[in-house]
Amino acid sequence: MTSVFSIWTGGRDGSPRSHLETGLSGPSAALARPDAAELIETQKFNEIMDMIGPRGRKEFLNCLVRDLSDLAESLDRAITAHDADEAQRKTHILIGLAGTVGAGPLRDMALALHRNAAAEVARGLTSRGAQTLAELDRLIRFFKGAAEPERLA
Amino acid sequence: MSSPPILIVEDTQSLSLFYTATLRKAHYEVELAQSYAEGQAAFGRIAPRVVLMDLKLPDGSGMDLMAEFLLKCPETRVIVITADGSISNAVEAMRAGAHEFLVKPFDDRRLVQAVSNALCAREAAAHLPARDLPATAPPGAFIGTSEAMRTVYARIHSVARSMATVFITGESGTGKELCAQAVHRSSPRAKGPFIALNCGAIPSDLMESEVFGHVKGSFTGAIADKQGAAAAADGGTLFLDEICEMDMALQTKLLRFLQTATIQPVGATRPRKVDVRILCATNRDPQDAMRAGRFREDLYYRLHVVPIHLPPLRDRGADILEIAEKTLATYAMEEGKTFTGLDEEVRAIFAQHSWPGNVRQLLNTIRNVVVLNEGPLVTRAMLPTDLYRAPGGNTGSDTGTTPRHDSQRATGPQGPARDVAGADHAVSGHAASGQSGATSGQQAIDALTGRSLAEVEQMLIESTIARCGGSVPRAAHILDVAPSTIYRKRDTWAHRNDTPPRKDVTAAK
Repeated sequence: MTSVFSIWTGGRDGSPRSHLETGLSGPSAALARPDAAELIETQKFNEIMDMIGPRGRKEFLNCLVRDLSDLAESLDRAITAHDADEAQRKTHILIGLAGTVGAGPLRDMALALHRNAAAEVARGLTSRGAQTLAELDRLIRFFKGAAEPERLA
Repeated sequence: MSSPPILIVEDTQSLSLFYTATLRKAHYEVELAQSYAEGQAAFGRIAPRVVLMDLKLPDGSGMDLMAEFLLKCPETRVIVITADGSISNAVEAMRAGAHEFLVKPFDDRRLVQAVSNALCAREAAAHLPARDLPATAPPGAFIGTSEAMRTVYARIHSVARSMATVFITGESGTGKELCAQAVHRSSPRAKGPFIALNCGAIPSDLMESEVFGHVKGSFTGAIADKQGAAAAADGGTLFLDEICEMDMALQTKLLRFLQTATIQPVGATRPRKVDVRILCATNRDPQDAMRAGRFREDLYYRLHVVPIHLPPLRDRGADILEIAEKTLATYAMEEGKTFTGLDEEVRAIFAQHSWPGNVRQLLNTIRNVVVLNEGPLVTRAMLPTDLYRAPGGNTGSDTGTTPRHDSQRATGPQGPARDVAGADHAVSGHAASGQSGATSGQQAIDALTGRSLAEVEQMLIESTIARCGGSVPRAAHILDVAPSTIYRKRDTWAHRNDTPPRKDVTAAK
């Protein structure tokens, strides 16, 4: 199986290198981008990328960044406004999205937040919300990097 | 490959891209809609056979949209997508006619399998013979047309066409397995296997192997590969009876199986996809089991999609006599007897009796009457005494498994396997006779004196099972032994007497 990360962090000699060997854990990227292994199941994500194929990858990743950014924004608004209904709607989407791309930690946080929102526990909503938004931000930065490999060059 | 395309209604673009890529890779044509309005328009334009849709849409309710689809074309198979934490919505959707629900996140294989199943189900349904009978006609081997049962029949007919998990509840002997069989036989999977597994009958340490199978050498005693019930039911229906008796550890594995539709036999290195519809049953209150921590909440919500409650026989009015007379005719033919019906007194007794053992008790009573008597009419003298001695018949000792006339008590050389009538009488006779506990207890012991300990043990076990309406797990609970102990002993007795082991509680007709 071809790793998606090998596509955009390919070695200078053209040989594919995995993301974990290079890219995001490298010295220059480490400050800017979070470690992939902490964020997503890389095998699952690579399988999705393989299935989508080389032509659709960039579109998919850009789409992911857009959807996640929209979610971050609206979730932030909902939490700030203590709008449990809206938070529930947004976490519903986030659970599915994060889970689909293998972002397990974010999915779990979103699930906890979703349950809190369902129970309208305002305090839990705020603290869990901040945690979820921070993780969401890390994931967005990660996918941005994945969609724009040239930034690593 | 397939035409018309699969319609996907999903407003999150990256997810719709993922679903599209997955289905196109599996050679399905796909049409995308990102809102309620787009979904409506696309449905009218392409008339899809299968719709994959999220329940939460930006401009309307997915539930309403699904209802519109099914109203326009009831044959459409709708697969509902929901997120973990919103399963109750999916359950509601199943009750409203969805074919299946997928809980996000799911992998590409699960998605393709769900679509493939939905298409197959639709094809199979198209080839099912048109049903001439009304939806409230008795399906399968059910007898009776009481209002309570007509509701059950309607539910069976309506749920049969979907993949929805059916959770059957009802007292012992009400016909839960019969109900499961009726669902299976009325479904597009009717040609596939129907595999029934009694979760209360198998020791917990063997249960995983029974459900999921094992590979040779995976544990001591695994001398060959064994196909589990889930694999055996591939393409058909798996019926898990007494689901509340399932070990907690296995409940976790069952949940995983329901989520992924994959099985991993004990000792196997790779999971395997199976296409199985799950039906389950219990005679307990599943919510009680859940509250007591014996049943996983998430598993409960996964399984409790379409509930069917079977009413006790005492609430079925005229069904009692209808079942009795039809069964009498059947048994008389089987036994070569000339019974033609019940006399008026027996009809009155039957109608007033509370039938704590439900239909099974009634059938056992009829069988006993037919075997031990000659026709043409069933009279009061042929009945077990406690069926008419206690007003309402709710004596607590009334199981109806055996007549209780002294003249019919088995004595002599038949051996213990044929002497359960005597045992039942000895063990429970005091309740029917109304004598004081001490006196009747002494009489019960007197009746047993002279028998071997093994005989007494068998009598006690069989009598307890009978008093529990045929439920081995309940009897095991009273006797403070594992259900497997009782099953093992019954197997031994059956072999010793060269008769097949008696079928347990799930065999209620």
